[in-house]
Amino acid sequence: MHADAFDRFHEADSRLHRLDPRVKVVVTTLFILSNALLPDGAWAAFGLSWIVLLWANHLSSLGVEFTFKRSFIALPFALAAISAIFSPLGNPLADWSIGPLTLIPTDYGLIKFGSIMLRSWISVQAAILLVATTRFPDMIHAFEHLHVPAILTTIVSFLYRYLFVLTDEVMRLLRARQSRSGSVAGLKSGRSVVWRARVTGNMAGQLFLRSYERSDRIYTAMQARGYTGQLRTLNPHVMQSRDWVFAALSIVIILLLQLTGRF
Amino acid sequence: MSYSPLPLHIPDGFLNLVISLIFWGITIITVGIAISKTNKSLGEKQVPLMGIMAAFIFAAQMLNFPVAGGTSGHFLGGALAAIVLGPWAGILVMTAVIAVQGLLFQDGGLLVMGANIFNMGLLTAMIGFGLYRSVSGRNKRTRLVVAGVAAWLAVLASALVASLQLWLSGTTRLEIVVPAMLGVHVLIGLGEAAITVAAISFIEQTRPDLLNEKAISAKGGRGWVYAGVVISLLAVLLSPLASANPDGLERVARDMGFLHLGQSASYKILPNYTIPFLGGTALSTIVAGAVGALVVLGLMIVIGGMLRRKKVHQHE
Amino acid sequence: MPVTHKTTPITTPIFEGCDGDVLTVEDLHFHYPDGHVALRDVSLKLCEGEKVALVGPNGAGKSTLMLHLNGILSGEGEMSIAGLRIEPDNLPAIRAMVGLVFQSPDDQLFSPTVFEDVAFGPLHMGLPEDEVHARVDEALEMVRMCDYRDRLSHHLSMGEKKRIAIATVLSMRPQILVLDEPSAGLDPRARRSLINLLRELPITMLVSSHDLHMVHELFPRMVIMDEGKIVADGPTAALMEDEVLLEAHGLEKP
Repeated sequence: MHADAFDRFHEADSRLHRLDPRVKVVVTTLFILSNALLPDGAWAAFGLSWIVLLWANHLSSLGVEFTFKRSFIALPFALAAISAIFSPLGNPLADWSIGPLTLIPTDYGLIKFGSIMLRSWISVQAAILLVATTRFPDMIHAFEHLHVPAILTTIVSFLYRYLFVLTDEVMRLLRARQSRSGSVAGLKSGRSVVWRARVTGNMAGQLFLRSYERSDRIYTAMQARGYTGQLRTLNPHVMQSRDWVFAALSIVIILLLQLTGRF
Repeated sequence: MSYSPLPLHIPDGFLNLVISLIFWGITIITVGIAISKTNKSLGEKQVPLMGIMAAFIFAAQMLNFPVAGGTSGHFLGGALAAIVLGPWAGILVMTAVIAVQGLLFQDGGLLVMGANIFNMGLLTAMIGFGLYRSVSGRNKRTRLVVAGVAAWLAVLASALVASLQLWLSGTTRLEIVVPAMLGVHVLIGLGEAAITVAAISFIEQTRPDLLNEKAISAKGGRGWVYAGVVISLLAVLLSPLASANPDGLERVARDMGFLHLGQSASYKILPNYTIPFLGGTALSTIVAGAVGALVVLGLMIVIGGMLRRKKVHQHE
Repeated sequence: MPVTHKTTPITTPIFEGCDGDVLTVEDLHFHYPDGHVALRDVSLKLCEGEKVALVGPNGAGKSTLMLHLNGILSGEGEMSIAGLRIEPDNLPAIRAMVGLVFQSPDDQLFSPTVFEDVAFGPLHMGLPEDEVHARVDEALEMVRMCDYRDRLSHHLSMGEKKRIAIATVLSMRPQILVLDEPSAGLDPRARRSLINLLRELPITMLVSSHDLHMVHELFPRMVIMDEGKIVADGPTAALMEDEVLLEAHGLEKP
């Protein structure tokens, strides 16, 4: 039941699912890079990027609206960019006085803000599609192929493997705390913030120790299976012609998007 | 579903490409050093340990406690990771955590991940460990207090650097972002400090052997201390400076050409497909930024190395 | 081939006139977000001083039911503890009245020392310090673990942790003790010690267990759950004789 919470992977038999994970990682990165390279105000190019994204959604057979539904994750951060609207450059559009503050939105500012939001919104959807169509262990393999140091990918593998176990423990610790967080009529419950923070810190400490000792047991188990420091994994990914074709096609599309953005 | 609601995971699109690449460079170099250091000084047992620790940090970030009126405090963990695991292992662990958060949960973008790792992983680990190491021989109370201060400063420094990155990218106005980010994180940092201190205190009570072995075995301790102190001082000094006198800072930046970088309407990396940035101002600002960041890093490594050699000579 | 019974509840009210003054559950229905129905029309009444066992195969819904009793999960239906309805606004008060002990004591003990863990409940409730101390001593006394007051929870054995876990809720002086598989994982000595403890505690309790020997020994009333429903609720002695019923729900006569 809990495992679902960490499985961003959505099973399906689609062209995208069957592609080599290296290709998907590289193409997604290039696509996000392409967005970053598009100049502010390149609305046509942004629009086309979005259409390309929708088409990719379709290819994944997860539904055209798949990433759209999940795309508002970066929304809180939009607040950080709102001040861009009031840039000193560009032509003023209005003059708002809110108390001691004078806010002057400019055309340059609005264009900048809109571009930032679009880039972010489109890029995050590309990332969502990537993880939805690629099993995480395959992604780790992809990074190994792409020469990310083995120690890092191994750490990430362990992270992934034990993430569920540990977050489950956290949930149960939180539940235990909740169960004993009672109140009686007439008394102020919960004590002080400092006390609550200390209890939380204790929980973190508990969790840490259990994790540390668990790693000892894991190491013992690994030794029992002959581990001497080198993790060997099977990397069964072989680039096929469809992978090369997809990669080439993607690069062409990205170049076209860039061209559109410049003219 | 976001597991780490701290407003420090910058998404793609909010930092401009140059800044992203600069910080990717710094991160790659630092993580590379961390890898070689961990390979040398730690055994192969440490790999499963670091993996579990990464899962721990991830899970611990879900721990919360009610602060006031519906808000709750949370935990980033960089300082704690570095204090209990040592700086290099701490860096690797945080890198893994932030990478998975970005990759799997879109908590933080892909292109800007270098910056995110720097802010939340490298900086926090350096400050956390650097300050803690400087009092590692002292009594428990001093150590806990310093650990708390270190955790708080680490969060603050992350927020400050993130604000600067956002400003330099032209995404935000300095006088808005710095007070906002710092204001929020002064409070969040308190939560971080409280949880870090309580966690270390707990570990000291139950398995004190774990902490001592890490603190002593980390080589080049002094270098870390200086680095940690320097960075913390910078954070402390820059923050009020930035929020109190944004105009002053902006003037300086304009003189150095930074402002132009951030707010130029037509800043393009590959304008009309010609050879990139041969324009004078653009080049100089990029170089300035990169050099500045690398100088800080270089100083740390050099000082650390010098002090280590000095220690060795003294022992002989 | 065992004959499978149609599940008709035996609603022999053993305690006539028990109006559920400690615990009342009426028509509780709960399904998980993924659609799986965990509880169907569960109704239950407990009166003061009763010791009731909850048995059934894994997945029957026992733990799920227990998590409803202090509001951690909330389904459709009415529930009340000592007359107070379980509602979002009442949850802190409910939690002071229901002492829920989870199966794994590691989940229950999250403070460094035994004292702090047992003190958490009363402290959170806002009781004054000397009252808290008194309650901790009282709770540890009830589980016969007074010497463990300043020990580190981390270093205790499974049996010791289980008893401390019970103490952590006893210190809140709950109306009802709800235990999930208390004897699981205990060696015979620790198990015997736990059985004696449960026998002595003068609190209404609802205990889920696979350990039918313990159930037979300690609990006059037994509730059998299967597939989210209560399929039997009555005197333990009588139900234990009904081998067909037991087998139909994955139980074996002890």
